[in-house]
Amino acid sequence: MPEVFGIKIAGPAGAGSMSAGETLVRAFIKAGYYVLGYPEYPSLIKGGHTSYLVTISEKPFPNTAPKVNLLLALTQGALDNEHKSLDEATQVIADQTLKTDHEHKKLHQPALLEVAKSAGNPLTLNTAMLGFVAPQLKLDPNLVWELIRAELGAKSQTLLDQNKTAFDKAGLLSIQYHLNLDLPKPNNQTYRLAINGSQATGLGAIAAGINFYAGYPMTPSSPLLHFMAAHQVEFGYLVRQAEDEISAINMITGASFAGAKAMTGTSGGGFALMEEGISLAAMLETPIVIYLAQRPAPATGLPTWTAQSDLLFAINAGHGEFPKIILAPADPDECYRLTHRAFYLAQTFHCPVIILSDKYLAENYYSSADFPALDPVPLSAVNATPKPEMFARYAFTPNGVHSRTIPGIPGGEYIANSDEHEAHGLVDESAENRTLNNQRRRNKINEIKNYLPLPSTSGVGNQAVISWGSHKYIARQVAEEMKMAHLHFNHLWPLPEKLDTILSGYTKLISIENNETHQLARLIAQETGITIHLQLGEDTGRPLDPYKLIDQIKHY
Amino acid sequence: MANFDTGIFPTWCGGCGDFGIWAALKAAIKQLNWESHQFVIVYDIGCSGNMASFLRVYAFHGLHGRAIPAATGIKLANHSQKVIVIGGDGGLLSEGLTHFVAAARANMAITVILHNNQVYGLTTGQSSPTSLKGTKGKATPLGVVEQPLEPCGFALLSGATYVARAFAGTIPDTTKIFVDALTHRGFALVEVLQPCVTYNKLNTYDWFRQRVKPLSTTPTNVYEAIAKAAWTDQDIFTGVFKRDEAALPYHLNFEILKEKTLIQYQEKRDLTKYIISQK
Repeated sequence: MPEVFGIKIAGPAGAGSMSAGETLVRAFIKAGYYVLGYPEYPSLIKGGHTSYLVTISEKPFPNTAPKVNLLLALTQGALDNEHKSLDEATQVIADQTLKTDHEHKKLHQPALLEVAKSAGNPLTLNTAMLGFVAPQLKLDPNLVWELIRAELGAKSQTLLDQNKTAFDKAGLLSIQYHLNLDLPKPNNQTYRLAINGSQATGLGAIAAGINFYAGYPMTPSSPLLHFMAAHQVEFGYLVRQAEDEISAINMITGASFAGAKAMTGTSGGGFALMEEGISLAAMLETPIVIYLAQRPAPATGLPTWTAQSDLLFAINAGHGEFPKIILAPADPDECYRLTHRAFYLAQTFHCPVIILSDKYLAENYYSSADFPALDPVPLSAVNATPKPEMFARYAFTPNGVHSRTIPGIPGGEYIANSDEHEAHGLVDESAENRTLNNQRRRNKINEIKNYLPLPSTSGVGNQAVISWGSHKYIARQVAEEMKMAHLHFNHLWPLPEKLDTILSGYTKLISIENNETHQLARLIAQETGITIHLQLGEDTGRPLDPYKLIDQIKHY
Repeated sequence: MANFDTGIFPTWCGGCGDFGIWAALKAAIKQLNWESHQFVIVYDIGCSGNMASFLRVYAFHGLHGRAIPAATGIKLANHSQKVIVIGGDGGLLSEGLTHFVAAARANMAITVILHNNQVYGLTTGQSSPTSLKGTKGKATPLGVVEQPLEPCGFALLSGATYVARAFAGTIPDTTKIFVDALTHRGFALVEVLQPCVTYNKLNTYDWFRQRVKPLSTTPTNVYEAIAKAAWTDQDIFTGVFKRDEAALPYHLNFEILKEKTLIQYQEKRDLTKYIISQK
């Protein structure tokens, strides 16, 4: 019995392989598996080649299955495209009309297209595929159908009927087939939530009490924009699709100045446009939260693929020297908690907080534990006593944080001034004032440094694997296989004070990150003077392959 | 009566049109009896934006070209506040043009006071989007090739529900128009003709006085308004080209903003229903 089992459903964009994949994720979680759903798709609307890899496991947080055990090919193109990734043992289900040059002993060709056509709609082919495969995967067909029905939602009754017919007929067809799939044991009792990183991030923002979200569409940050937009009425906040990313960040900064808990989201190119705004929020000491879902760059890069190549970009984003905080969740539970925490940190330290995600985390579906109920983050605004002069919003404090007021509070008037300013926000270009403000900003950075936690440690040994963000479980698999400790960073900036002490306790350090130039390793060297001995990783647009990494370490 | 002085005397050049706008704005706010905590002024970057230091109010002095998005965020966060944008032809019409159009289209309830001096003053004399064709600026020594952008006509085409023009040389008339614009419930643009005494030697007070004429009647439709708003060699009309109070301001399109402002939503949120739906 294998620990993990991979099922891939593939077809052109628009044929429903994505929704079928998500349906399988939900069905397997209901059936008691630990699941990871991983979509791959090109940047187009119809056609091309898309696939959805569902990995089911006996252990929490599986990585993508090392091989496809079962391929569900919806079209000839899908079969041709996927053929190269198959091996002898892979079972394949494809319609009887599809052809393959390869001798494939485990190719099963039921008449699924005929089923779909006889149901009155050839587009129900993906539903027919699910109807056929459900019994083979020991999934309860009623449960799978309920999920499909929920996915179809309130579309027309005709469409529902056609899908139901296709699903049932394919189920009958399936009785004649016995794939005898060797599946892992379903033993997941606790991780029963099917959720992706985008939804979890949105829930974290909602729990934190977000009032305003502004964003401009860009893959892979758009799922968060859509999620936030879909739930604004229910939870009582507002989403505005801005005219561009520059507008989005200036809008949330204005909103935050006025007392809103505000957030924006984007990907690399949009984040580049936001940089001046990040610097502004830091100068005004206005709390804002920015969600940065990374994808491979430079420029448009690989729009629908994944990478961890914007770490140093995020850390250095914005002109000038100022405090900011960078968090990088690893899974939906962390997306939820750290997004809530991002709002808390922003309100506490009056600075920009960036949440670093990527396409892998944003769009993958995970089996997750329930999220705890969290209280809203209190708004950091105080009442004021009216005086002849304005409110001393930027008066010196030892930790660099002064109380703030919001418009509407009498006596709280001040200027949120992007020019260097004195205590009330009035322009002051004197060297004395500049030095004082530099001191305030440095003090704040130190205050944050003392507040943020050290990386989490698991496993033991005098050698350690180091990772950050979405690649936690990939690095974890490598560490476990190599019997090494694992240090994982979900707080990336500023790095905590005692990090060097922790790192110097290991004789060998190996970094694993989904980029070409080993950015965390360089960051650690810059901040601690400690060199990471073996720096592994690449940016192919795909998540790193733990087996390849293990091989690289063994041959080092 | 509220005192809006910070005690800092303006740093503008003597005779700058910004003095007239500053005086008219203070007079308008006093006439409206607004308290200094009941409104926010968002300043763009430029000579006009330097007004930030000369008014004792809640103020946001942000980035060049980005005053309108910041004002939008403030308005949506707390729509009980009045929000005024102070900016120039450079910031609002060059870097900020997208935002100008977006806010006008949205009928965002902000009042944009556009100081139009047809030049970049604070950066010492480059041509701007409203510079007349042929104008020589420091970065365009051979003369501007482009046609000037007409802020009022552009705003009208973008769906602005209030569009007016004033002349900084006549403070009482400008005050009157400001009062009118500040009581409009949707997006308002007031283009103020603002002579730059240092860097614009063409469009001077005298040049404007020869051309500025009050609009005798309010145009009846947008095309007539655009035609009346266009500058000609002889006439530059001041007054209100359009005022549409029937149009719903952006924020009033949202049910959740009808009872409360956004920032009044502070309750704990129960995610249970959603969590259960994902199981």
